[in-house]
Amino acid sequence: MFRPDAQALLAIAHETLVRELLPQLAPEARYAGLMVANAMAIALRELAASPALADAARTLEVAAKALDEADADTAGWASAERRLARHIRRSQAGADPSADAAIHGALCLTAHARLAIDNPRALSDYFGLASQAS
Amino acid sequence: MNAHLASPQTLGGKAPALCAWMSRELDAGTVDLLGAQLLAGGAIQENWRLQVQLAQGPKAGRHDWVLRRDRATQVGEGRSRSEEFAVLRAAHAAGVTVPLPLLACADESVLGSEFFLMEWVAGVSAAHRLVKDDALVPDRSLLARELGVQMARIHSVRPPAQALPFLGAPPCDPGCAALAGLRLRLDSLPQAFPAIEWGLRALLQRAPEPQPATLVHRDYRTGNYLVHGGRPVAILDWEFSGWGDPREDIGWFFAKCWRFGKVERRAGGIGHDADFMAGYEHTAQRPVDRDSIAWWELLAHVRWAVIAAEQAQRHLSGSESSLELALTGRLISQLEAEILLLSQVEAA
Repeated sequence: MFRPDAQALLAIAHETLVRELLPQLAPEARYAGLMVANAMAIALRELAASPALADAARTLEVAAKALDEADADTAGWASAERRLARHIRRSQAGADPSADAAIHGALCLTAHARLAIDNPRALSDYFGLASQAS
Repeated sequence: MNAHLASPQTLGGKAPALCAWMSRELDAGTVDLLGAQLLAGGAIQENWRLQVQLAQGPKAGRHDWVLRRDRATQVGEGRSRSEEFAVLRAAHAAGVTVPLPLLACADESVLGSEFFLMEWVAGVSAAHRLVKDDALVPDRSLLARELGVQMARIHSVRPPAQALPFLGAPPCDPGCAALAGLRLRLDSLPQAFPAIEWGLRALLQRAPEPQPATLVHRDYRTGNYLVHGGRPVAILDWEFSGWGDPREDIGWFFAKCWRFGKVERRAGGIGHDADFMAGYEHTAQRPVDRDSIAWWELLAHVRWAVIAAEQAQRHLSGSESSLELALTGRLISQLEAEILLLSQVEAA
């Protein structure tokens, strides 16, 4: 594969923005420039994060399947999240400790996978893990 | 207007209309807008710093004022500008340090939306600077204590308040009312947030005994006050204020999501909670139950997560295309992580 793919293009574009453009931006444009750099960095991490996200999606689906919740779709993030949300809304904490443990575990895994993409530096505040290089 | 004065593009071409309005309201004769600078920040409101010159009347002379008006249509929470102005007046009367409120305009035909004028106050509000720069805040203990004092003064405003009829009747149980409101807002979003629901469930099961409602700011946090000479000189951004449980403000100020990285400093990332509480309790003349605050910190994260989801939705729906709004959606995972952590502590 000689043509740079989305990830490779985005990586070099991000680097160019940070190294060459940001230092040249007028002060009033700096905030927007930093936001663009941040958005690109998040997108890059998201493109690279498929395995961890897939893991989280699977765990979420397992937790959702164990519940007695119907949904128009039965596949994908959105459906699993809807079913879990509905169950949590109509249940009491502590009424079913093992279901609670499974749900909480799946939600934590998902939050971790997403946080690793959105803000890896914050990971250590929540999961006691050293953040991966962004 | 003369050539050396603010350009016609200032304020979207509305500068002459503003000057004419000021002239009428203040009996000021000729009003010149010498300069106007759009201040940074604010996804929903727009703040302009204005240098104005009034030829005559009680406010004759040169002034440094701030114009505050709506930038986009409001969703979810939020007072109108004329309501916010009334709250600012009430806060000022209660001794809270705020920019002196001058005039409000509820007539949308003048500038296209409601607005008000207040005095310009010099100071730094940038949160990242305040939490990091010890030159800006040489005595963190003092700043934390002063911020406690100011919050207690806000909470000294009790219902009923003749000047604030739009606040409505105070809720009997503000905590539960807040939870009910957040559920409705979650239901209005196209996607589900099980982690947020998890936090709501924990909150509902551990709801504290209600306390009598007072005025609450509802966005009292680092980033929303100006610091000058190491002290707070203006509490800003009153658009979410209303009657509520005073602990809601304390929980929001202490919430980890508002410490801007200085997670070990529970008081807004700038100081210790003990100092804040000392200032608060001394001014309020009553003790605060320390153990109860954790519930309100969890509520703070749930509320901010719902707001972030709504702001992201504004971008996704196309009603306001904005990188800032889109990125706000990417804050949700961090809030969910904290919600999941705090909920288990609550349940323990």
